[in-house]
Amino acid sequence: MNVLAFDCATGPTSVAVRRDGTLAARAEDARPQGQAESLVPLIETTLAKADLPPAAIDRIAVTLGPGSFTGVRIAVAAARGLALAVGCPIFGFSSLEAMAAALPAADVPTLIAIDARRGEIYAQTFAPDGNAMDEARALPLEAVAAALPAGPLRLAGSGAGLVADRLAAAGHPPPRMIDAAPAPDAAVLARLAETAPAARGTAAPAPIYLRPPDAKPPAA
Amino acid sequence: MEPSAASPAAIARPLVLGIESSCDETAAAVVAGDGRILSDVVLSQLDDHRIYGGVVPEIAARAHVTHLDGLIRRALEEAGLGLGDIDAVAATAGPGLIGGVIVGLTTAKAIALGAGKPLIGINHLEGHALTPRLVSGVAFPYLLLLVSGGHCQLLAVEGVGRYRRLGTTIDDAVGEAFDKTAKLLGLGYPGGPAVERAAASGDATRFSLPRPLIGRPGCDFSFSGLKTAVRETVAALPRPLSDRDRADVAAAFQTVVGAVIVDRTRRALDMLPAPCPLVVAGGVAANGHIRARLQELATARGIDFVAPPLKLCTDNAAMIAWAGVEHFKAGHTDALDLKPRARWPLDTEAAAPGAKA
Repeated sequence: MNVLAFDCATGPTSVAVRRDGTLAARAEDARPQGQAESLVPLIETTLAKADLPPAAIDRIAVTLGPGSFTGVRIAVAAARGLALAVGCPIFGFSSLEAMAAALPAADVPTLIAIDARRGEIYAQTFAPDGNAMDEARALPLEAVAAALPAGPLRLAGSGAGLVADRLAAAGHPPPRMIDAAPAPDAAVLARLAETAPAARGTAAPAPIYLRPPDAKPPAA
Repeated sequence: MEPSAASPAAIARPLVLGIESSCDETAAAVVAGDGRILSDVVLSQLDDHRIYGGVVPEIAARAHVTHLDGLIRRALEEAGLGLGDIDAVAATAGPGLIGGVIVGLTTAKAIALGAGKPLIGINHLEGHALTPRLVSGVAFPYLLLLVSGGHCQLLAVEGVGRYRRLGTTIDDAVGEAFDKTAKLLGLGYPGGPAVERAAASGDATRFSLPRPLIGRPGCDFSFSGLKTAVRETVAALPRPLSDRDRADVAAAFQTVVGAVIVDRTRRALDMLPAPCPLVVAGGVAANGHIRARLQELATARGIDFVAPPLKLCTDNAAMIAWAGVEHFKAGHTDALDLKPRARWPLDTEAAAPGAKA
């Protein structure tokens, strides 16, 4: 199976190709902006490095967000355009799922928490086997303690410290903290898509924004 | 994709897929080398933006990514073609709301890569500027009056990629003035059709409005003073506004806009070395009063007047595909790292800093 994966949901861009169970090529671009110019050329060169013609792609993997609205749309537009041309399914993952999949295994659930500012985190919980226990969602900080399971927990991501403070204040047991917050990585995504059940693939996955557009109807 | 049952061999080359997403229409079309429009699909987001009284960029960008690939599939289906039959993928690369431009251009790049076809990035204004050649085969050069919600300019169109700007608005675009007037009169959004409907039964002579820049040298436009005058006129009327007051203000406004446009266009014609056809494009070109005034001007001057069908005046992808046809024939294609641009004047030398349109 040939998998093309890419991510530019949170700033940096990465692209990876897996062929028959091994990583055939990976490339990244650390610049936080300019993906509208750089993403598709990076996909082109990574496919070439893996010696994979676009028509031979069997699965496309992409992060759907949450992240930068524009970055997420660039990745989703590229995935849907390629899928239309190549005729293959898209396997979309939340950026939190991609981050969780990069962590070492654990015997307790893992919460990935991103500092979303404005008093909110983006959060998603994963079971020890890696499966998501809920959907990616936006949580107000004051609601965190009540929304999370009271048992032992592992915490990672830029919002982990905020969550730990709230849990401590609510008398939860101290969570296990992962210091290095992993960014989504296309190589991890490619692996997730390779092993995902075929039914998870779709033609047109939607971005995960978790926040409405900033717009208010004018006062009457 | 598999080639379709239709026989692409019988269709004039090149066959170009066009994509438009620079404002609040998501659109895809397939156009052939001889100007045959094989499909032309437009999804208007009007209802998504109506309650805000204008286009909200983030809402527009979200809608584009939701609908664009489905519209492209439909455009190909209606054309009876597969991507394999297409010669190039053309997409608006600017100017416009950058979030939407990014969605359309990125989708086009991905399709170009996936299907192994060349990419052609199109200036949205150029799409409007070349539309007359899609519908009438008018030859270069011609004078283009481009009037829409975001643009208001007079351009000498001398060839593909050769545009000389003669005049532009120094403040608001004419479409903005229509929207603002409609809002002041409580006529709803979008303002152009609403003002035209109200004006149909109005007395254009009851209110006197200023006629900005008429008689001045050059062919620039200005609409902010007119907007202010409409506001003051409306403020002096008893509330609630009667239908008669609304109709009369709308008629006075539309008449002044028509007079300004004709005066500016007449001066632009005088700036050209020889008589040439007059062409109008952009959403405001859908206004019947303005079309009629321009037709009178062209008749008086003894020049041809080309106004594309209404569907091709407002934003659409057929014009982008057609501009792609013109560029493909001229041997122009773009690399996959093409940068989307919020601002992209057609005539870069004439680009005035700070001008909105």
